[in-house]
Amino acid sequence: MHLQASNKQKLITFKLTAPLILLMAGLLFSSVSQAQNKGKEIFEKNCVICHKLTEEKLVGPGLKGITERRDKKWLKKFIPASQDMVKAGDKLAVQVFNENLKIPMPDHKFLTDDDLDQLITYIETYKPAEAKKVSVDITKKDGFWRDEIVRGERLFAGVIPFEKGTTLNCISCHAVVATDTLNFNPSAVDLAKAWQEPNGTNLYQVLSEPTSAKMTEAHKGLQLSDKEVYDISAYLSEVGKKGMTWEKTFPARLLLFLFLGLLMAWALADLIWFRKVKYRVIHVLIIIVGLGVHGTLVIQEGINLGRTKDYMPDQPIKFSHKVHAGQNKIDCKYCHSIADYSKSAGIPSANLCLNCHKVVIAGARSGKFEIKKIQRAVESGKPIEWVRVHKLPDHAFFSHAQHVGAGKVECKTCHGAVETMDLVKQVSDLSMGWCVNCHRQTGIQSTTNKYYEGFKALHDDAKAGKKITAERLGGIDCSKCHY
Amino acid sequence: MEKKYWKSLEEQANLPIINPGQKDVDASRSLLDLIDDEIDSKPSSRRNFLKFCGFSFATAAIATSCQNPVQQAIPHLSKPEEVTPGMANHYASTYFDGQDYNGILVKVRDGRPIKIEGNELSSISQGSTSARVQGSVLSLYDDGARFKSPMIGGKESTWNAVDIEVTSKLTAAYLTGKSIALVTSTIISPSTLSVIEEFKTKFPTTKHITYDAVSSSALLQANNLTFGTQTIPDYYFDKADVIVSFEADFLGTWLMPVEFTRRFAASRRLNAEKRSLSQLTVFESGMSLTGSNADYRFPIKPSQQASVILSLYNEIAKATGGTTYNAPASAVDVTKLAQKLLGAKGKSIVVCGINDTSIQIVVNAINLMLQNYGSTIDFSASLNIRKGIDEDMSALVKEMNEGKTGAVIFYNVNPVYNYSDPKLLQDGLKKVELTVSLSNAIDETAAVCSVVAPDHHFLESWNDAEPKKGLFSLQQPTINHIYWTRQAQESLLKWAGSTTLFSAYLKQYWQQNFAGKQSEYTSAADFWNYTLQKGVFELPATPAQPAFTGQAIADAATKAAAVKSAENELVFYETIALGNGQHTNNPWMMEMPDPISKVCWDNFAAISPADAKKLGVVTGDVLKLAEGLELVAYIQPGQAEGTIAIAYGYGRTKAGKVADGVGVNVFPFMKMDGGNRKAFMATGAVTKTGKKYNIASTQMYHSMEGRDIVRETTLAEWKEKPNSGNEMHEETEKLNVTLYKEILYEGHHWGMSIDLNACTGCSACVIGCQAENNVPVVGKAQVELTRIMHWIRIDRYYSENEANPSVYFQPVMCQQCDNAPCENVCPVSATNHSSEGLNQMAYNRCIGTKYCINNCPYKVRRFNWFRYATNDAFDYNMNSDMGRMVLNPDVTVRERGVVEKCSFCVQRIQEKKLQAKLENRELADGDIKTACMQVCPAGAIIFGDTNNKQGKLIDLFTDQRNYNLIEEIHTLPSVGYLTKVRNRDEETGKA
Repeated sequence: MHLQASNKQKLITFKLTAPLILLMAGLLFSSVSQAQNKGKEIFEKNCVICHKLTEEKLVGPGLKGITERRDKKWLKKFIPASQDMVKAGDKLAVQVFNENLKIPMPDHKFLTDDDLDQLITYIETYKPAEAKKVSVDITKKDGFWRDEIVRGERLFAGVIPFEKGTTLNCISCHAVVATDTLNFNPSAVDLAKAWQEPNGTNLYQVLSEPTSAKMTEAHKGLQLSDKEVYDISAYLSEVGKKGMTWEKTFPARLLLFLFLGLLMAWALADLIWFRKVKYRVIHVLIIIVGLGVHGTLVIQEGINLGRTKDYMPDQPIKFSHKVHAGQNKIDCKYCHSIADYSKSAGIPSANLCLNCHKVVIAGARSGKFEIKKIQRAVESGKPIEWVRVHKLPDHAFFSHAQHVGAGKVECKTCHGAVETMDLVKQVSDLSMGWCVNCHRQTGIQSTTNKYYEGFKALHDDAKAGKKITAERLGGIDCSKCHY
Repeated sequence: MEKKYWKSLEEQANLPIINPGQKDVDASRSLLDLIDDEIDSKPSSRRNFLKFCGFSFATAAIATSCQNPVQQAIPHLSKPEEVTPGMANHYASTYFDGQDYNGILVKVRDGRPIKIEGNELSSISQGSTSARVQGSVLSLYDDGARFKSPMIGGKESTWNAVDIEVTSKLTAAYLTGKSIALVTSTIISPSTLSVIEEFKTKFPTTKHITYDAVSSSALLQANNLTFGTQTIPDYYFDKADVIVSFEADFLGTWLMPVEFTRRFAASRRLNAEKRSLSQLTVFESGMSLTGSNADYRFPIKPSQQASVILSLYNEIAKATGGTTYNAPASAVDVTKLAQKLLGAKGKSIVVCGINDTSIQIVVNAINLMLQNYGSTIDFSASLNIRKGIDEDMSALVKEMNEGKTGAVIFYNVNPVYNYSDPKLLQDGLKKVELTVSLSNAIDETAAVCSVVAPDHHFLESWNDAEPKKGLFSLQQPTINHIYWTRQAQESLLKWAGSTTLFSAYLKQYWQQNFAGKQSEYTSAADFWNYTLQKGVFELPATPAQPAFTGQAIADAATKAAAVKSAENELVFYETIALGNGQHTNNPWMMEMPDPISKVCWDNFAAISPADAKKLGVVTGDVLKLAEGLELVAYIQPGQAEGTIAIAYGYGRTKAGKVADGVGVNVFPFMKMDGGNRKAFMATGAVTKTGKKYNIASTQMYHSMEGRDIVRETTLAEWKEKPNSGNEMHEETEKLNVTLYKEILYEGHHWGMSIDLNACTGCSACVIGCQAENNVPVVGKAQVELTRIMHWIRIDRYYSENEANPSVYFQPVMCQQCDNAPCENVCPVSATNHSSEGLNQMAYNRCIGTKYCINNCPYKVRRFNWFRYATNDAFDYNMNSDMGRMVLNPDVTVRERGVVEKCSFCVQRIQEKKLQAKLENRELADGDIKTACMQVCPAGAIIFGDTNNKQGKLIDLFTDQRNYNLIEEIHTLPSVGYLTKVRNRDEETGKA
């Protein structure tokens, strides 16, 4: 109770003073800020992967006080082409190179003289941002009032407008309902989770200072008051607890089934009692078609029991195979590397993702949020729980090694054109008939694999150019898959 | 051949066989009538009708509304380099439980140890293991029995509290001048001994007592008296032509059964090159595994052994010009045996398992006269196992009762259960201020100890071993410790004031002491890493033959001659499965049918058929054997008259849910006599109590109804005619014609050959198969109902007379018939033939008609009467999450209502075929080893491809000794058996 009251008081004082402060700040810093921004931009684009602006060492040394330690002219020479200097035998350069485990610093020859000046000025004048003063309790992550949650929900959904009057609302990008299409923006639940974890996102900060270009663009013109953020966080805490809601699919087949059932009942009743319709051929037709459709539906549903063709679940990270395998042409086996020799194809571990995403820290469509999840998983020690798409029943043994390694079957034969999918979808029904058909038609590596040389008759046939199917060597035996 | 073979006395006498678990059903009425009666007895009512309707609607609703559950796929955060999901890793390690040693490879799948194989680099195991080693992986997951945390005064505690409690009391004991006793089983680990030395330095009043419940105390002392070295030599049965054993079950439980079995089997193999056999003569009272494999076996009372051994000594002494001694009349005429031994000087072995120093001295003298030392018996690589001297423990118990002991630490021993006088021991323990148990699971000793500092399971531990002089092996953890336990060595180090982790200690010890002894690796670090990978480090033996000092013989001969016979004598023995009772809480071991009696889940009083007739006893009668000892009788053919054999290892009270209350503990009857614990005792008249008790035995299960199943011959006959005893095979082969088109096996055609001459019946394959193929344990009640699930069974047949029968062992698994009777009768084609000659079984198609079981002439199919994997009525291992960790993920866990059977380890076939394909090579002969073949220490089972004309299997299949089971009915089995050949002379019954 006490806390609530004091928050309200703070809010009132903030409301009065905030515009004044903002105005003054804007007047004072507008001239400097552009130059500073250029240096900042260069730094974040090129340097941040290896250097910190504190004393702490990352890959390269910490840069705090670098201009005092080193001559600026030397720095301007060193940054664009450090290796050239090392090779030329510059004493200081060699020393720096040796001190840092002989990891060469990449060249930055594209930076102009002006760029370098701005960069060095930025590093020189950098001061860590002081914590912003806000009027609400920003540490609060749980135990919000009902009206705060409701107001948050309305703000989030755009039912009530923001004070600063913007046309944006949250829900159009940050979904609360899971769908089958990939929306690259983090969902409301994801936002809630990122905020709620220990040392999680500071909503107040990121909303005023977007962390990636993508986010800056999407949030352009968005100005929220602290109270609005507070209410939205109240709503997020609720969303985080509930999780995603699921879109209900329209039960078309069931309705068709019931409708035809009723229609047939009416036809039967009319045929026997009412006799409103003269032509009996109509009754007969309705009943024949109705029974036919009913039968087909029952058989189809029966066959599909336990099968999950077209299954396309939402994943914990908005990972797109289309981006990775399609646009960037990464080989399937770079990530699913054990498919060649293990039963399982293997889902890459988080450290494998980080091989690239240490450097690639922002996505073109998703910004930093999704990629940051990998880092968050590693830091928190909580593994990423992907949703399994392709699954076989326990009594069917399937080995990727047999198919990919020995049989040289391509991934897409079973998984379809994954490189065109944002969300992975099961394209094959993985039924026994589907397996057996393939075994009947697919040829084995009879001429290229020496394993088959011992089988004389078969090897002779193969040499004569006959296709040897998997079936001929027992590819449709029960005990090939069931044991 | 008119010889009759029988599996039980009932079968021999043509009596109906009654399964104790079977219920009587009115045989005059058909089953359908009975069902009708059942329905009639429950009149239908509107209420019932509504119930059925409700049930139908509910099931329909549930069935239609079921959704596929969302499954997660959770990858590593940072994948360890050596772990690949879906692939197993093998780690070289060591098994030593205080009794048996084995160099092992542990199969670890996704972080869980699931199977143990023998380490092929170890000269002792050479890739094979015993049944107990196979079972030991299950004890890792014994959730009910393992300690979850340290305990003080029976309450859960912390390691900190335990360390404070123990160190303070140890210091107190030391400062008050009281002794500290460290009671351990035999320790063969050099680094552990070094840890104990450090402990002794910190607490100088420490005494290290080695206590073996079943010891070789007499053998050690006899060797000390005659050779001046208290060690056990190695026995090379493969180099011996004549082997004589007095109560030494060297194929089953004596010293190094795995290695001895392999050596013995090597001397029993016959082929074109090797045309001779060793000859084994056994003198024993109960029927042991060694006795059942003997060419000549003499059932005698334990008290008569001395007379036989002395007579044998005198006969040999006479011939070699040695001194003879007075001996009582021998129970068996040994003149011929003596001649045979003399004829094989330097190529014979006489072994004796009697724990009596005088007798062992005489046996040593016999071996010396036969010039066996240095050739078949060798001190150069002496055995380090069973180092316990029985008197040490008695001395400690005496000291405890006198109040001189301040602290006792028990490590891997359970004397409260297996000491000769448990009451005296417990009284003594009450006078000791600090009693510590280092046991990893609950036992009787831990229950009376004030502090329990639980050790890791051996699969979670670091350790090393030196089973034989110069043969070292390493043990490494294969899983992080599951419970809050700490390795015993680390506890001792901690109490001795050291903060070193034992893993670091071990590494340092090896690098310091062994790295210099080899030249293969230049750096100590390399030596450590590569040796850890290989598991073993073996140095060439330095020849050592201590000189014989003969003074002790005269005295020993007099003492041995003084043994008196009693009316009835009780003989105690270790079983193959349970040993000294350490593994009793392991359900796999508990349900393993004893190789001889085929009884599981109980011990019993094995009584000879003659005695049984005399007393009017039948199997199932409870007998009073001695004061405080009542036990159910079991009529054992071949049991010596006037003796009753009882197994150790049962009658546990605090070992866990499987072991507690099963059978009777006979350790308290194993008393000290002449400085050693005696494994037999004299008793008066044996009487019936009138009580009855059911024994679960599998001996009459799955009977093949007396066809020509066992085929045998003698060495002489075989030499003359290689197909002797197997003449019928040729006849049936001629009749193998068919009107149908012959089926072509274009790829592989799997087959298996079993050498009945090599197989000793040790049953390691049974447990190996159980571990590999997720075979459930069903419990005593189900075994009584003939529902044991083992995929491979060892049929045991007797022949000739019941007083001293010949015994035959025959492993029987699915014969994978090419013309299988089971396949034709399956209404849903759940079992059919594969293109590789396998009789495959699709569990998901099976609807459980059991027609196949009825039509299988070999009775190898098993039916799942229950859902053993989830049913809590079968509270063994498969019903708990922890127990299920041992399951092999490559083999389906079978559902209730389906039939299962041996698959020829098709998962292994598939794995190795795939491996060959990935390595772009042809499959080599011997690449694929079925689980049974891999564990077999005798090498009796060979699996292979009959289409591989260069393979081993084809030679065995074309051998004249080869035959198939019930081949006359044209089932065309893929399993061949090689006839049993005994090395018997014409006249039998005389040695």
